[in-house]
Amino acid sequence: MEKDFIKDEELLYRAIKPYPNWWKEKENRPSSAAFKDSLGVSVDRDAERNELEIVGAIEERFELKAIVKVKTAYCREIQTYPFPKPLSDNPEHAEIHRTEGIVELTDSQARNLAKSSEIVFQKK
Amino acid sequence: MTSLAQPNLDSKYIFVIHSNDSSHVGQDLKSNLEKLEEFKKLEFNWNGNNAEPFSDALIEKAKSVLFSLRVQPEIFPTARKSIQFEYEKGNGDYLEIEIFEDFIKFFQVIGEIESSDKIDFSRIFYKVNEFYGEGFYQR
Repeated sequence: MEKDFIKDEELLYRAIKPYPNWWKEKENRPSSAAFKDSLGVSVDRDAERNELEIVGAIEERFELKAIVKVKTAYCREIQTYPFPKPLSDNPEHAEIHRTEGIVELTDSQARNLAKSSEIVFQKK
Repeated sequence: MTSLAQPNLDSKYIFVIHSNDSSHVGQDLKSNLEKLEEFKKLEFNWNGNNAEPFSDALIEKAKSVLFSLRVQPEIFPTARKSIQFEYEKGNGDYLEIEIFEDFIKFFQVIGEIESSDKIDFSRIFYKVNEFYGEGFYQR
């Protein structure tokens, strides 16, 4: 895993918590509201781990409704700015911002991420 | 009403609007009001990423918008001090109303064409009307 740059082929995992409910039951995906955060959208990099390991690590930290993933290349395609932001207890932590200088995603970016993310874990 | 045959409408909303039993509309509104009351209880760091709690003023503003709508949206909190109302049709058309304490904006995707802008409280009802097609409501 490169420390200073996230490669296009890396997957980014977003925990969707059960409360408050960010899940659109009819569409079976998260609301774009789950990607609207003035402090940045927190994600975990795959960091060459297998998916079971990633899901397990996220499950240990949060109560979950679901975990969704999105390709870094897609984040760049919709002109967001994904970058590594390792934490002491989570070296694979990263964030997605609108641009290098602006934190909050646009409505369009948030919706595109919500619509394009793929479910890897879901509690019914 | 002449709009029963509007294409691409979500059947859930058709039922709500055209039912003679107003308790269905009331139930959706009641459910959304209850959700807002739950949002009110969210404390600092409710999202695990230091999100701020929602002000009473924002909750009351969101309630006022809900009361003005005949078609109830899905509602979600955001971690940028706003409450988001969503409408989505089966064909992917989408309308989002995001309520902040000092302004309201909309974002919509109709046939993959996106648009967004600030919107006055008084125009929200008509924006939803426009989304579901002219003539959908009786005026």
